[in-house]
Amino acid sequence: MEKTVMIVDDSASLRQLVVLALKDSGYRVVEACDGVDGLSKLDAGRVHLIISDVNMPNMDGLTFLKEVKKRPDTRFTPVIMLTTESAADKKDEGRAAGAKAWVVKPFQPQQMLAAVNKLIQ
Amino acid sequence: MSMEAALQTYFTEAREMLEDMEAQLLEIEHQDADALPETLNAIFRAAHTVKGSASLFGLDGIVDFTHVVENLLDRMRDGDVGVSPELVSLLLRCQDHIATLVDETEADGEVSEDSRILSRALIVELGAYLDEGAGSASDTSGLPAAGKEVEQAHDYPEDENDDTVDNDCWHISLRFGRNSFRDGMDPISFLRFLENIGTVRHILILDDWLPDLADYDPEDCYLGFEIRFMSSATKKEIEDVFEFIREDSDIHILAPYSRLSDYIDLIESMSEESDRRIGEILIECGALTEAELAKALALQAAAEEADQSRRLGEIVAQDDDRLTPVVDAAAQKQTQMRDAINRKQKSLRVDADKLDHLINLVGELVTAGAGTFLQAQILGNAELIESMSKLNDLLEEMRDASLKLRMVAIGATFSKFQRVVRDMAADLDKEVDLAITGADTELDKSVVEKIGDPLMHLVRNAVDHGLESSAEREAAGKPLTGTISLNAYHDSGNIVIEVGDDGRGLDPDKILAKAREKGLVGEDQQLSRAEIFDLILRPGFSTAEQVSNISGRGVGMDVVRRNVIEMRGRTEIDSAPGEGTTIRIILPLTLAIIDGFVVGVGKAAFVVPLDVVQECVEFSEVDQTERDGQTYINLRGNVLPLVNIRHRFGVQGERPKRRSVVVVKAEGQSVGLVVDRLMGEFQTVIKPLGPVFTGLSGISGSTIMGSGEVALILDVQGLVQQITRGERTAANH
Amino acid sequence: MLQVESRDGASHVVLEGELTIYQAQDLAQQFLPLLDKDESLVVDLSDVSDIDSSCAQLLMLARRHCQARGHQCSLVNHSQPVIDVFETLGLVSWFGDPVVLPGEQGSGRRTQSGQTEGESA
Repeated sequence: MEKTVMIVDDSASLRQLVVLALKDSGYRVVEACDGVDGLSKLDAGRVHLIISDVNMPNMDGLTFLKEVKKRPDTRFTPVIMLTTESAADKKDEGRAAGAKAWVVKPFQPQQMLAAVNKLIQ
Repeated sequence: MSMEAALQTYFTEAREMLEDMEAQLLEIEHQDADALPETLNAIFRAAHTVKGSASLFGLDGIVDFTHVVENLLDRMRDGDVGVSPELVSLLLRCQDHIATLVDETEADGEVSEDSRILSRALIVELGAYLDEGAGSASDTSGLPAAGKEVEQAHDYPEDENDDTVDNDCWHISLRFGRNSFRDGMDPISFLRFLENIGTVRHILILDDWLPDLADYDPEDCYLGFEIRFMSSATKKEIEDVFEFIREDSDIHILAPYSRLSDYIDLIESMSEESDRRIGEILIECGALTEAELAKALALQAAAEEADQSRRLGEIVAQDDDRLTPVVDAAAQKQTQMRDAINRKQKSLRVDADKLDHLINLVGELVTAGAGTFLQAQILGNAELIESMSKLNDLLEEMRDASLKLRMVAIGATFSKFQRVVRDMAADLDKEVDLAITGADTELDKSVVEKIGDPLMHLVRNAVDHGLESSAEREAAGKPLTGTISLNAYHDSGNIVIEVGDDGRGLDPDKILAKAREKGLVGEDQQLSRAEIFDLILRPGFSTAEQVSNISGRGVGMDVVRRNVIEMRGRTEIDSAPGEGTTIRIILPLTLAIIDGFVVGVGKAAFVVPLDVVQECVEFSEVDQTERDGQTYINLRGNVLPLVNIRHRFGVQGERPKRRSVVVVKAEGQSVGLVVDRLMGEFQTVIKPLGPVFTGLSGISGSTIMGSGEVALILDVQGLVQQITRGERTAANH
Repeated sequence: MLQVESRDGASHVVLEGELTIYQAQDLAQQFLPLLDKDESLVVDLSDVSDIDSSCAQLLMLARRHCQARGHQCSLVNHSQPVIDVFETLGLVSWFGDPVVLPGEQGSGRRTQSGQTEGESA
């Protein structure tokens, strides 16, 4: 079954990198540029895994994460948070909100693919 | 790391092992008795590693065959089977065959039917030696008898580590955190991912924490797993599979061949569970045998009673004769693995393309630096010039250092010929030794890649034609065993590679007569001794009266010459009748840099390789004569054909009054290049021409000058050939 | 999600569709009360399109609950997705129900009667 991954990040190139990393392995990728966009696209169809940046305009990643964890149709969906080494306090907050998978930027495409595979292969 | 990548690593590693095995096998025959055990051990190790790793990947075709070879080597190592030339030959064939099995497995994922048949045939041959060994050995179990089906080789007991066979897997204990499901962390995904880096041999799901109905929350996770995992991955790689659940779950990973004490630590660390239960689990999933566990628990209890704080593993190692070798073997295994890892970390595999790219960039950096330096000089700012010149020095050092990265020792290329010489000697019924010197000499990787073929022709020719038959040697009072020598050394910016023999030597009169007969040399043309010897590398020349099927018809020898010239090198031949012949290949250290002589025509700049430049003279149109469209000048009484670069490459622009002739020599022919300006020597990095220009004659590459302009590198060889061809055509009119 | 039919003194349960963490709560509410009926259970898995660890765990609980009371709880007609998940988790041998596998007998050390040696757990 084709699984759908959502990437939420304000950087188009980063989203592109994620698409490249995942599409060859048979994942469908939905792109969203910030938390608000992400939430509206979650309404459009089922998503098996969400990758989200922390620092974004409009709605930041942690707020988005908390919204995702509130929604009955997404609250158990695994979330990979993208982070930079320096954002340790954000990480604690995110973990408490239910985001256990963290990937440090920059990452190699195959690292991202491995992270996704670990969660929804 | 993916399974694919791991497999790729295996193929590379197996080939290295097999090359090593071949080299060691060839050693055996020339070796002192006291060095033999170590050599045999090295050969055994190579086969053992090839087999062992193949079994990790389930490559049965390789495992089944190599296992039998390994058995025989083990017998040889123990002295049960003696070394003989026939046996070494057989082992060499087996080594070739394993290499084929590896190649086929890499290409097609499996071993071909032909190879399976050959495997069986070779096993029959190996069986004969194993039977011989069985006469003196006490135990023959596990050794397939001659002619037995290969498939049966599967059931062999692991001779040296009977006791550790159950422990060759990783042991992974997982206790998932209560919130795993809520966090989207499903055990299924992690377990499936684990299969990417190895094979789950056994998985045991634990229901110990599953509560009664009343206390059950369907969104809580109560699961635990014990896993036997077969993998060549590192502990870090296995840990990484579980990185996202590390903080909320309980994860223990034990390496293959772990000590009993590690298992005891595991048992003790599982605080929520009783020791007894963990022990049972370990047995159930096959990590420990019942005997081992009973022993361990009893000793643990005894140790506690006696209030001894010694760790259980140590007790086992000291008190139990049966288990001692197990623990030692395990420790030894770990040491070996560590050593191998350490060795690997000292050198780094880098993609050759990446290195080329780096060298290219550094080359451009040097050029750009030179350009900036030029600008600095124009500006006349002394401080800027000072700092630019410092920068340029560093850039040039950097270029030299980066070129060194691509240098490799020629030894590996040389040692391939051990086998060639040995096989040929056997075919020709000659006795031949190969003497290698200068194996440490380093040269550019691109040169190494191109030198293999020419060397092969030279070595074959030396064994076939250079060396006399044993009878001839005996009659001449020479030692029966002929010697082929391979030597390499650095000589003033060049690398010299010599292929020598102590055979009959070249006869200049015979060569000259033959060359005249074939029309290669005119009847009245006088040649020096060196020029005569040089004839043997000409196309279509062969002095061998008997054309043997080994070195062919002299076809190979002109290939040598052509390849060497392509590498901007040259050949020299020394020979004395009855004493032997040495052919010397002299090559630039690297193909990436050229010492050039820059000339200008109009606004364009051209680079002439410095080593072909003979001299420069002034050009005067008056002295020029023309015949059949070809112009000549008289250079100190000799006719010098000219190539007018301006005409040849259609350069526009006004022709200056004073022009020069650069006299170059290639293929024994001097030619004058007519140019506008002489601009001096210039060391430069060659950039190959793009595919668009490959058909372009007279140009071999390009380079960027300090000014930032592109200069074309002249293919002097090509230009000279065009002239000589043109002369011949003209003469035929 | 689930259909129940009582016959021959046993509850025949047919599970259908996706059985994931999103359905776990509902499934537990509908399925677990059947365990109080104090009779044997036959669970048909032929129409299960997807199952995750949470719902597999629920089936484990049911099996253990029944066995403790001397009833049978047999799983029958495993669909391919169920077989795949059971194999990954080591549940084929834990349950010990006959599983129809191409070319391989999936049952381990347990018999169909469900007598287990793991009860000491």
